[in-house]
Parts: sequence; structure tokens; C-alpha cells
Amino acid sequence: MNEIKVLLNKKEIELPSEMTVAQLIKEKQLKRAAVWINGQQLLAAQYENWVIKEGDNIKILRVVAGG
Amino acid sequence: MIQDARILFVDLTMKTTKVETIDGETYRKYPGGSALGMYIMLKYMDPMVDPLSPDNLLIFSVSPLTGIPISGQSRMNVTTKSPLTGTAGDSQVGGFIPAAVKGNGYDAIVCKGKADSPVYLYINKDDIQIRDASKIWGKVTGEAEKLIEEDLGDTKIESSIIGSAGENLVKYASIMHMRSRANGRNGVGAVMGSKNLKALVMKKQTAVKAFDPEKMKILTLNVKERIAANEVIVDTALNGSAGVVDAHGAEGFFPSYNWEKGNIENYENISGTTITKTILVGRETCFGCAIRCKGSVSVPGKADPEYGGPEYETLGTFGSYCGNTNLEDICEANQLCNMYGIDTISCGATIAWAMDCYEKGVLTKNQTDGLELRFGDGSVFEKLIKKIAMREPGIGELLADGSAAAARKLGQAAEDLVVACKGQEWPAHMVQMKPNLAINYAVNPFGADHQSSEHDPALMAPEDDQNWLWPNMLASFEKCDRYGVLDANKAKFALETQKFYSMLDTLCLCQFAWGPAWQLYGPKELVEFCKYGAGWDATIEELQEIGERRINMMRMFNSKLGFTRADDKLPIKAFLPITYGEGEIAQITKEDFEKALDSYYEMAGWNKETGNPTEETIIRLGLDWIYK
Repeated sequence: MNEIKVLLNKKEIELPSEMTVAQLIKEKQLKRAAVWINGQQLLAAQYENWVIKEGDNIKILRVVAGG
Repeated sequence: MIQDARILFVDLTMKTTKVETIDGETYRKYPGGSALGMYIMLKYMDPMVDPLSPDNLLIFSVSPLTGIPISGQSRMNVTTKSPLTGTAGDSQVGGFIPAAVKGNGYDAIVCKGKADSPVYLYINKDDIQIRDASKIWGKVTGEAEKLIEEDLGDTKIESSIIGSAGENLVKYASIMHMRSRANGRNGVGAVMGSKNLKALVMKKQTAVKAFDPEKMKILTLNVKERIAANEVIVDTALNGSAGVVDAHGAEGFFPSYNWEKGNIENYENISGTTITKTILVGRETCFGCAIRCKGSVSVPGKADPEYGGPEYETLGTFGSYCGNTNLEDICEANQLCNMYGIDTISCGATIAWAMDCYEKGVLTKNQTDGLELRFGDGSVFEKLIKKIAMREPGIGELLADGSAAAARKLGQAAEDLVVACKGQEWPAHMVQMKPNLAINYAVNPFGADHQSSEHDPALMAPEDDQNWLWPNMLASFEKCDRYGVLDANKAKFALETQKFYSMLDTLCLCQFAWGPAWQLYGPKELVEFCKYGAGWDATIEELQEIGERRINMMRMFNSKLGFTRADDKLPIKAFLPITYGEGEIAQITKEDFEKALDSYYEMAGWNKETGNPTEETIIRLGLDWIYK
């Protein structure tokens, strides 16, 4: 499988090409997350089909509350 | 329309009882729980009383919604003057006793005076007995519960009991229900102990009927689907509050080494998923709740399932705060706290503070009864907790008053290491990650509390996520895309969600089930619950004002004691830079905090110099009777 290089939370990493945001969130084991791609925040409804591209600058923050 | 409130007054000195009512119109302004407790305190008690004197009131209260079968409605509030903070005191518990209080026909039970020997209070509707507890005094909570059942010859009861810590007036003693549910904070157990009151015991009764049972089904029939659609609630049902360890640990905001850091190696050892996989033996519920978040663990020789299991806060205070990732030691500490009736937050945090002092040479072996209080060594918990509960002379006596009071005895170097507001130790949520909590911890009338406003990440949520949509039903907020931001938007978020949480503590609703962001039910459903459950045509605006009124009552109570803006301050460690994620830094500054505090006061209608409600605010909320 081809891999692409992206920035994830300012760190360069490799991801499988054609990976979606939803797949990335699942891989990171996040329950609820806020995602920005190249400075633009995505809607939750976009996670499933948004394909990450080579060179994308991705920011993911956990939406975590009380306890 | 709200029914009249029925209040039971118990004079433990005179051994007399009487029932009074508060008319529905008045009750609607202070509809249960914490607001009702504050209303009674301000009507019947001089705020200047010594918290541990017979003159202090100890008020157990529920709400017009308590006991109606739906998730998250079985909470009981305790209101008193806190011996830990010296302010208005407040604490909530779940379980089954809240529904039982309501089922017995009471909205509040007000205890005053002091019995001349240990007693417990038994209530079966109009049969109210002040019974001898001299053979139960000195027993741990689980044993006391069994002895009460034997004394009454009845197991169909619900009890709230103090342990040795309450009896010995430990200033963060809790009141325990079902051995694992706690009115934990503010030292309410010490007030109960000061009255020689070992337990409040309610006869179990049938469930309260909703005003419109058919319409209530709109909220209750689809609860399984509602849970399944909410990933956070699914995780809460699976891992309990302990699931938050996974998130905070991974993100690097799990307060560690008495708040010096946000990360600790091997946090996974004490995470919710680890507990679920290894030592969890069951999940329990509260009356009528489908979430079932309360875990029971088994660690042979250290933790019996009957005392539950550690919640997120306990995993923080006895875990990361103490630099400790030994799960068995944390479970043992949790059990001992539940047996002796001690708040696990203040206790673990006070021990972490003592470890910090010891590591820095501020506290020496001569002052610790020879114990080495090293970060990472949870083996000291057992001895320390027993010493605290019994107020043993030496380190036990020192720590039994909490970290702030202990530090005052040791000097400035010790005070600089305290992480508390108004004398109450911080819960395990870092202000560098969740800066609105800096405002909340500082201004909260009864000390630092993590359940008094929503947490900041809701402002980061996608615009089609309920975490973003629900808070914006209360007020309009701006987006936030990073940690460490403390500004006017955060001050507004702190205030508006604080009103909502304040109202939840008034209506005695669980903040895992009901809330303004991630919970099972949101603001819209709450309005429906008021209507179908109690026949009360509430609006979100009315509910928000109820929450606001409660906060202002507390501030007014405190103002009579001389509390001002000067008391709304943060500990030094709040301003430390925290390294998280891939080496990024989150930090709040004193300058940003003071500016945000100004914004908060302005929006709250409080005087910026005094930090207390202005006359205009007092009149708007109908609270001018308090200063008359």
C-alpha cells in the first residue's frame, strides 16, 4: 500500500494513501475529536468520506470533558 | 406549576421534629437541591456560625424531578456551612437514597443541633425516629450499614452514613451511601459527625409518579438507542468515569506529581480500559438510570467489590497526583476512603501535596511519623489514610485539615505547593487544557469544582456536533481551536454553563446524564422533563436564571463572611507551562486570568472590586430579602 506524508499535530508522519479522517480517528482511538485540515475545521459529517492527501497539515484535538 | 415543598426539620439537641411547607410559587424560584438548601440556610441560619457547632444546619435535599423513573434523576444534595472552606458548602450523591427521600414525601430534611450521644435518623414517611447509634459509632460504613439493618430488622432501607473520618471531624470527611457513593466534597461528613449523627436512613418506597407518564415515554422509551448514538456515554457505560484517564493520559493533561506535569509514564496501568479488562467485576446503577456507570472492582486483600471502584478523580488524586501508577494501591486507597468516609479528591490531593513537600525538604521524616512520602510510592496510602481518619497526632492530625490548612502551619514554601481554591483541593482537570475552569475554580463559591461548568473542549467541537450545538442553546459562543486560551469568550462560557450546572445541582440531576454538551439528554429534553415529569412549564431562560440565582445566593452568603474578589485566586501551579502531545506547550498567564475574571464579573453582574453581586443583580434575581 502506498503511503503519504502528512503533518499531524505538527509532527511529520506517514499514513496509508486513501485514508479517511474517520479511519485516522479510529486508529488513534479517539472517542470524539475536532479535526482541522490545512486550517479548515471539518464537520463531523465529513469525517467518513474526507480522504487525507499528501502534504496535508492535520490538527486533531480530543473533545474530552468531565469525570 | 410546582407542588409545595415539604420540609422536615429535625432538632437533634431537643430530639424534636416538625414538618413545614414552602409554597409552590416560592419553591419554583429555589426548586430543590442546592438552591433549596441555600434558601433554608439563608432563612434560618446565621452565616457566622462555626461549621462544626450545633448551630450549623445540615440539609439533605432533592427536587420536584427526583424519583421519577428516568436516567440521571436520583441525586441528593447536602448543603451546610463547610468546615473545609468556611463558605457555603455543597455536595451531591447518587444511588437510591435520593429517590427514597422523595418517595417518603420530603423535599428536604434539615438537621440542626447536636445529639447528646450518637444517633441515627430513621424515616418511614410520617414515622420519624431518632434512634440510638452508640453501638454503631466507630464502625466503618459497610459494617455500620449492616448493623443498622439488624437494628431495624429491615433490609429494605437506604442509608447515608459517616465513617470514622466524619466522627473525628476530618475536614474533608464524606457521607457515604451504598459504601461507594459519596457526598464527597466540602467536609459535609464532619458536620454530620459534629452533630453525633451517624446515619440518615430512609425506608424504601415505591417510585414517584410523573405528572404525565405517557408523555414521559417520549424521553424514556428510546433510551437504548440514545445511549448507542452517543460515543461518550457508550464509553461511560463501558469504562465509567475512569475512561477519562485514557483521554487525559494520551493527550498529556493528566495532572501529575502534584500538578508539576501533565503526563506520567505508564498511565495506561491505571486507565479505564485497563480496569475494565483486569479487575472490574460489575457495574451498578442509580435509581432509574440506564447508563450504569458505577464500577465495582476486586483486588484480593486490597479491594472488595462492595466498596465499588476508583472513579476518574480517585485515579488522578491517588494516581498521577502522587506519581503513582500502581492500580492495586489506588484501589486500596479508594476502599479505605469509602470505609472511613473520606473525600478521595481532597485526601489524595493532600497526600500528593505532602509528597511534594517531602521531596522538596519542606516536610521532614520527623514530621511524618517516620514515613517516607516519595512520589510513586502508593504503599504509604494505607497507613496515611488510617492516620488521617483517626486524626492520629502527628502526620494524621496535620493532614486531616486539608492541604491549605496544613501548609499554613508549615510556612510559605509549603503554601506555594498547595493546589486549592478557597481551601478545597483541585479536581483532576488541568486549567492549561481547560482554561474556563481557571475562572470556575476561582469564583466557585464552595471551592474548586470540576462539575460546576462545562469543559472547554466543547468549544472545539465540529459545528454539527452536539458538543457545539447544545452550549449554543444557552448563549452564543466563539470557536476555539487550541488549548491554553483564556479570554472573554471563555469567561462567558464559564458563566453561562456554570448557570446550567448550577441549575442541575438544584434539580438534583446527574451531570453524566443531563448537561449542555456531551451528555445523554440536553437543554431541550430538560424542558420536556420539567413539563412531563412535574407539570412545570419551564423555559431554558427560567432554568438558567434558577442556576444563576443559586450561585448568587452562595456569593451573598459568603459576602456576609467577608469573602471578596481577593478570595477568587488561583494557586501558583495554575500558571505553569504544560508540555503535551508532541512537545507543544499550553499555559495560561496571570494577566489573561485577571482580564477574564473582569469579564466574568461584568457579565455576571458582580462588582469588579468586591466580586460580589451588585444591587441591580440582587433585585433582578429577587434576592434582596437576603440583605434585609
